[in-house]
Amino acid sequence: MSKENTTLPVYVDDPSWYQSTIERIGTYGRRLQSALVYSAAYLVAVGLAWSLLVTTALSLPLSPAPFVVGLVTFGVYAGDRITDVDVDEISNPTQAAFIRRHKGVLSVLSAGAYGIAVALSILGGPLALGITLLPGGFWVLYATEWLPSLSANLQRLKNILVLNSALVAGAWAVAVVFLPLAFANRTMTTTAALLFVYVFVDVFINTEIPNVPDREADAAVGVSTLPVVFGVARTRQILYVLEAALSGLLIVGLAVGLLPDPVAIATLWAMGFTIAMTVFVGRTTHYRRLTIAGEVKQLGVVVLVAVLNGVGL
Amino acid sequence: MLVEDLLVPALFASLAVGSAAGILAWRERPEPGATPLAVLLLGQCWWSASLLFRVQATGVEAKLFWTRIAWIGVIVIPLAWLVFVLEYTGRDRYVTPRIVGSLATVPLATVALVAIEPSQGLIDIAYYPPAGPGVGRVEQQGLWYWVTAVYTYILSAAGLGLIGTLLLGDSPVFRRQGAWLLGGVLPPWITNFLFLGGIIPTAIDPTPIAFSLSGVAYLIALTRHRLLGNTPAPNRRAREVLLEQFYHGAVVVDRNDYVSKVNKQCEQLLQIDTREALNAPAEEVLPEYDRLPEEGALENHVTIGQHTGSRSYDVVVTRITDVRGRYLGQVITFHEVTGYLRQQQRLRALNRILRHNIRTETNIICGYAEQLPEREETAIIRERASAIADLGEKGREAVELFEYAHQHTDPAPLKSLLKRCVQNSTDDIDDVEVTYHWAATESEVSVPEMLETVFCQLIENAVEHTDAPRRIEIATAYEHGPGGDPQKATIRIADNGSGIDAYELEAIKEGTETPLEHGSGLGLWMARWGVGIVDGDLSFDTDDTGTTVTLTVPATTATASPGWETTSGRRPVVGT
Repeated sequence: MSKENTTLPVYVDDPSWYQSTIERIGTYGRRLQSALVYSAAYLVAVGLAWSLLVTTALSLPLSPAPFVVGLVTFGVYAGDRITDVDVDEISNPTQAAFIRRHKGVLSVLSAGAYGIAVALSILGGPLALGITLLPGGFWVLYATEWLPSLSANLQRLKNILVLNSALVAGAWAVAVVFLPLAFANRTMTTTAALLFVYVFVDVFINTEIPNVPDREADAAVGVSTLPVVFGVARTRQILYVLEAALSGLLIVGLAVGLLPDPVAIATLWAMGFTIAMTVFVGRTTHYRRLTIAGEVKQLGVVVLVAVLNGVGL
Repeated sequence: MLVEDLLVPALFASLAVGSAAGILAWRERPEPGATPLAVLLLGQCWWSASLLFRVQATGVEAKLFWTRIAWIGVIVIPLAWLVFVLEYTGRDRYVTPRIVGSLATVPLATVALVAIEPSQGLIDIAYYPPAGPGVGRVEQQGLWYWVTAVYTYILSAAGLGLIGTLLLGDSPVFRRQGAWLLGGVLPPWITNFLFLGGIIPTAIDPTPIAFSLSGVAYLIALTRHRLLGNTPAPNRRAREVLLEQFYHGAVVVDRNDYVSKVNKQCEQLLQIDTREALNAPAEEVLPEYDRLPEEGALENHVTIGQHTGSRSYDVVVTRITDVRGRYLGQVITFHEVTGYLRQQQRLRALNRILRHNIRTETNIICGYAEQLPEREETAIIRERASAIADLGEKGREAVELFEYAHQHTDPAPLKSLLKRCVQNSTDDIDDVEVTYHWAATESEVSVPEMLETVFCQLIENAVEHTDAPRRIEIATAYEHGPGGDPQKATIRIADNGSGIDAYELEAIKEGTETPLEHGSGLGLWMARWGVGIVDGDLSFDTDDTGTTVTLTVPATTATASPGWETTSGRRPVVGT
């Protein structure tokens, strides 16, 4: 019988172990954050949140719709980042470097996500399938060179003022509002229309804000955005007008009982958040954070709705 | 029942995988084959989705509706497959609206007939609900149903055949891609064949189930084997481009001696009209066709035209065979050598002038000088006439170096060549001390015989430009190959002269002379040209205490040809 002396490392009193562990956790945390942000994976949660909000606001039964929206969102945005990696090298070099490094995996993951979304959407019937395919179709018209390849007179819709952001907002709004309806086999209601307008305007604003730092790069490649055409100050004013109009609409919705109270309060809170963000347009250099904050605020909206429901409001 | 049990999960899988593969294919646009492959996968997804909706649908009409809708996917797949294969394999010239439109006639007619199904009878679609729980049976029959089935199989087989050629190709990447493509197309094809043949007796056509396997195969081909990232598409066109842009004229003649291809160069060289030449008998198009060898270069030139307008060509025949070595035809290339032949004519004329006329004229000058009373001037006249004759002689050697170099590449013993050059160069000079440092070798080392001219020029240069007491050192060294035999010889010729002027060396190094920068004679030029002909190196190390010339030339231990000694170092064998 042999005897082996095994010395186990004792870390308890070793302060360097704490430090290295914390550093390691910090490193992994930063990597995870980069992966989530640069790959657009965090938008899965945003898509889920939007769709859950609509499901709650319309009192629809839970369905695969939120998952389909999340997967479609990731599929479209990650695919867009892969396609635009050359342009992003000027405006967002760190993200472009990440996308280049993981292009193969991201390409398969984003295509796979869309594929699963398509398969899941079958459960909602032909209409759900059509709605699921719509953001992909919009993206083809929006970002790829497919339209210009058909005719010299056509250009990709990303280049056209207002239409570009409207297309993005429209794709989000259609998917987020109509997919839960399709899965629940419900028809359009006034509340659904109000939610459609809310999602559309909110996404429109969140699409134009990151165009502010990109205005020179956009102008160089012929993309017309509000900041490119009207300048930063005028863009901020246009966004204020949109926010004021939407806030008014939400207040009316609350007043006439179109929206459940928790949803109305949470969406008004979100509008306040958006207006606060708009204040920083042209007055900050941290547009990346501003954009992400505008997108993930929907998680806050869902949490707020849950809390308000919890307290019986 | 197994098929029915598998149906829904397999259809979901085929939809997910097919959509993902379709998106990946779409993203590869405008790579050849990307769009039709995306359309093919869309067709598969369409068929699967239609079947799923049919299963979900309630009521006979709804089920029949989705059965009819599925036909769009059914007829898109084989057409997209063939177009994909044509593009992917570089046969995109066949992917024209006219051809694709013609190929789409039967599929479009099928969709139209399915849409109006109840009123015609060419395709009959019937739905039979299940007796209990389960999937209802759909029966599709009629004359056009079988026409479409056969047509679909023909398109698929055509694509399959083209992909099959990849499997026999040289590229392992394309072989793997081809194998995965077969993995993509065969499962649904075989499944459908077994279903149509009644071998799989199921209530529903199980072909869409096989799409899940098919999608995985396409997905692997796209992601692991760069299906659309590294395609054989350019190869086919590249062969044509190579032939078209080939510097020489080229004609392809088939095994029955008919012209099948003429490149642009040949059109110009032979002054023929391609439209008339194509498919014409080769003997009517190509000059002296009956004189061409079965393979290899024609011994003599082919000359077209007469007198000063004639042009001459070197003609080479290359046989074309298939993978089994069977003769398919030949490529005949025409390389114009008119300029080369004219240059040769000029060299011959120059050689005659240098060899004969100058010597004759200088002899006459010397003869007249002899008639004059002996004075200092008459000695100068004789001396200058002799210098002119020597210059003519050197010029002749330079001309012959090029004209006959190819005849004098046989090996000759290095030591003997060097000694003979020393002897020739020091014949009339007493005060030259020549020292040899021979590198030790087991066998005698030989170098190309024509290098004797080079050695003689360098040794003569060393003797002429050195004042007494003249000391010349000649050393050799060898570089041995893997077998131990010398492969290269390095020869150093050193003198104690006043060195070579820098501008003269610069002109030699640059390979060109200008009116301001030129050498004083031909010797160094001949050394450079001669070493260049045998692919050797030449370098000079010179200052006012002497010059060392280093030559590195190919060497061998091969036995020298018996006749080398009969050639004089300064006089390579002169033809005419």
